[in-house]
Amino acid sequence: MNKRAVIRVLGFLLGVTSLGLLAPALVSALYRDGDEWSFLATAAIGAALGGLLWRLGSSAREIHVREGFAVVTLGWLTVGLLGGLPAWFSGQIPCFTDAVFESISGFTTTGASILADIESRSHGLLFWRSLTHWFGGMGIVLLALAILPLLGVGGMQLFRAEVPGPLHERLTPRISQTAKLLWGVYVLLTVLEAAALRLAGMSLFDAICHAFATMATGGFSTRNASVGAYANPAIHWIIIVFMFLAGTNFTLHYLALRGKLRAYTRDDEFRFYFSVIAIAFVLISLPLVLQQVYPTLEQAARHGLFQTVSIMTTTGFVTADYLLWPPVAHAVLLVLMAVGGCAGSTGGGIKVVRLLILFKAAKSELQKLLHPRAVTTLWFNGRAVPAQLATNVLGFLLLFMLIYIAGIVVLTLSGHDLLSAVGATAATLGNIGPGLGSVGPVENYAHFLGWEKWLLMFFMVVGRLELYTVLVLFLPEAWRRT
Amino acid sequence: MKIVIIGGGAVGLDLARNLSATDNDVVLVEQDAGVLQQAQEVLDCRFVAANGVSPAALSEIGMSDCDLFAAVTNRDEVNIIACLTARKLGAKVTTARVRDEDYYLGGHTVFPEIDLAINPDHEAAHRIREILFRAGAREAYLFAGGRVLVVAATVEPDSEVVGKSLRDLNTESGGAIALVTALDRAGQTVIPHGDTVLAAGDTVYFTGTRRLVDRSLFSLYAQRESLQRVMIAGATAMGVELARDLVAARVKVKLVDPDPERCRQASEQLHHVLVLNSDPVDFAPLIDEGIGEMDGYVAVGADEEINILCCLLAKRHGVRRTVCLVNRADYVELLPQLGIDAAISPRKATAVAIARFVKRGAIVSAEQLGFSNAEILQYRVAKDHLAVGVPLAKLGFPRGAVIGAVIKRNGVETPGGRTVLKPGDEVLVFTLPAVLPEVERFFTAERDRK
Repeated sequence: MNKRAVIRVLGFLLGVTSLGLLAPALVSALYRDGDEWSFLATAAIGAALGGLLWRLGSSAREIHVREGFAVVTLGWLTVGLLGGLPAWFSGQIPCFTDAVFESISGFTTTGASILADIESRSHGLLFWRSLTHWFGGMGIVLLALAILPLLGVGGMQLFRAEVPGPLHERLTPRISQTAKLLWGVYVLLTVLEAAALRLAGMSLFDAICHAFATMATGGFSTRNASVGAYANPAIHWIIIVFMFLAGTNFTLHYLALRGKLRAYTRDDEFRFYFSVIAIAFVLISLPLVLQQVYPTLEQAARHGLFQTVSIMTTTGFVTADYLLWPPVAHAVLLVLMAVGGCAGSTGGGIKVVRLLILFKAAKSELQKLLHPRAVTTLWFNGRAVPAQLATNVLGFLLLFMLIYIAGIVVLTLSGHDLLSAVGATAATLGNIGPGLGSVGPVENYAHFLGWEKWLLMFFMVVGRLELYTVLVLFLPEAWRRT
Repeated sequence: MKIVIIGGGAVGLDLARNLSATDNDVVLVEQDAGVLQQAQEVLDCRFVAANGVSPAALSEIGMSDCDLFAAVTNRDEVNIIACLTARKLGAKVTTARVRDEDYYLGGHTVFPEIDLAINPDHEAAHRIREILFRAGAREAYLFAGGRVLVVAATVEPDSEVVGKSLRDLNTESGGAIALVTALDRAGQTVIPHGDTVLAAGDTVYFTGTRRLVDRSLFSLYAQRESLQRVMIAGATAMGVELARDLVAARVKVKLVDPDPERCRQASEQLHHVLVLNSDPVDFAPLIDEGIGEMDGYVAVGADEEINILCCLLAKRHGVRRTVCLVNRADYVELLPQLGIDAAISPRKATAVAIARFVKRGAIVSAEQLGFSNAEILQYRVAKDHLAVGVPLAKLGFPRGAVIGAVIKRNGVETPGGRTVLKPGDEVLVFTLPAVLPEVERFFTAERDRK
């Protein structure tokens, strides 16, 4: 591995993050919170460290497979650590572990918080939490690629390592151009949502923060009761729509903006994504209606749909405490936690396309029982899928389940009840945020021990970078010289 | 006439044989010296061992006096580049064999330099589809992008049309019947007229739009084909194309091939087709796959003896319709006696199509009827042609030939005595070999007079 090239790119990423830190400093100054110095100090540290790494490193014109994995994983870790410093410096989160937990939860768009009282924090910090979501949603490395044509070759390696999904499509011949287009769509949707929320009656600050958190499928809110704090149904509906869009492949949005609206209905994954949400919505809302949990049909439908879309897209906003709902809701939501968004979206989880490919593979295995001599091919979006992909996806699912089970075993060993252990693992590995049991929608992660929090942070990064990118670095040959 | 053929494969050799039989100077270009060696023993033409796309080699052969350049190797790119090069060097007419769907745009490619693109597998697959969908059909030919259909069917002894004249048939149906443009009786092909009386065992050629042809076949067989399940043996280019065609028509298709690699490739091209890796002659696994419930069975493997054997076995297991790919004329004659419903010979068709194209004139396409020497020629009526504006009855059209259909820009007309041709119309002419020169003169002579 060309370690010096990796070091240089890391320096660059730190520099970009430092620039990002100027935004919350400005917000703090505007609202006279008095903690703008913590952001500026962090930015200075980031810039200095970034500059140092940049000098230490060597030309990064060539990034190959191994460097790509290292850059993305280490980049997420260093940026995550840096992002935790302001809250720690200003004393708003006095424990270093907690501060980093909040930052990594932000960048990985998980939205799991250790804060019990969010509303008492400074505007600057709340803005920074939402901004970490927004940076992490489309990918910090991708952002860097979009801003600067830093890399000649190897951009695709980074793109592949950071953008979710088993299949990667380039919209344009140049990867930096593709990155720009995806970021463009992302910015456009964020602006639209912020405007819509503002019109629906939210304050401008809340509207922007919620738009950041929605489009990144993050889940940090500026209110203790999350989106449930807003009584206006219009706000709920707006956020439902944008969560749904954020969980869709952004390539489709891009095509739709170019006038190809049929791209949605033609996409196998989108259709499956839509059907899963529709089925889960019925399974969750029907008991709510039958058991008259809510006084009106609209409320049952709205709260049912909000929680369904929020968990499925791995956003993690809540408008109601679903732990008080009938048990079938818990079961369905637990399944949705694992499914996650579409490939190429900002959502986490296993991804809809992987499940779809596995279903197709399972169907073709069944078919082979009936027709022993059949030669089958998997089809996705009207094209034959390489046979290797099914194996790759199967391996992914196996690893995902192994980590999931390991997480549950370790957390129960440490004394948590089964429901909480399952909830916490699923919610961090799937980048969702709220889980079940003691980490339910009205609870937080403050009660976990220090080392448990680091474990959950590891799950968040592993989940966000889709296992392989991180896990491959545990192979010794990844670090050897080529 | 000087003709240069690139590619000494089955198509190239067939073409060389056909063209050198008449008064042509044929040059066969092939890279493989071994293939040339074998060809030299059976063909009377000049042989050049060279790369057919090499400008140097083509110049040496002489392109400026080349009347027809035919590139028929099994590689599309080679054929296309060879044609472009030959045209650049002065070849008058170029034709390329193009198999890839991407390149083949129904008789053409994106290059105007290539006068005719032929895709034998494609054409044959479409024909098989038309045969399968029609009870009693033995042969099928498509013209004008499928707007005109020619279907051959045999008159059964118990058919109610036996003993009726064509004129009677036409009046009975109120004119809503396809023209009978040729008739095979006891191995002899004739062009029928109104008084011709149908007899049991005749093979009649119906010509017209799909609707008319289907109605005529129904009057002959009083049954409609319901095609739901078809098994294809041989994942060749033709087999794959046919499977694609049938699936598009909502038929359930099973494709069988003994070669695992070919199966894999086929399954990657065909959605909704069950591809089976199995020897088509080994019927035990195919019985498990329900061969007895198939409505149709098509054998299009590379080996024609195996194709025949497969069809016979399929017939034995109760398949209703069987179609067989056979290239040897003496085998084709056997098929009806063996109970095989139809034969397809794409190589022959290719050779005929290219050979007719030589007499460039106004010919659009050409086909040979079955294995007789009667031909179907598609002519475009020139602006200054003597037939323009004159009713057909007064044209003095050569005896032994008949116009089967008039293809206008916006529809297909069944010709009658009062039909008048306009410039740009295309006519489908059925002709016996004896009057072929006369027909050719009829459609080209006026051009010379001007």
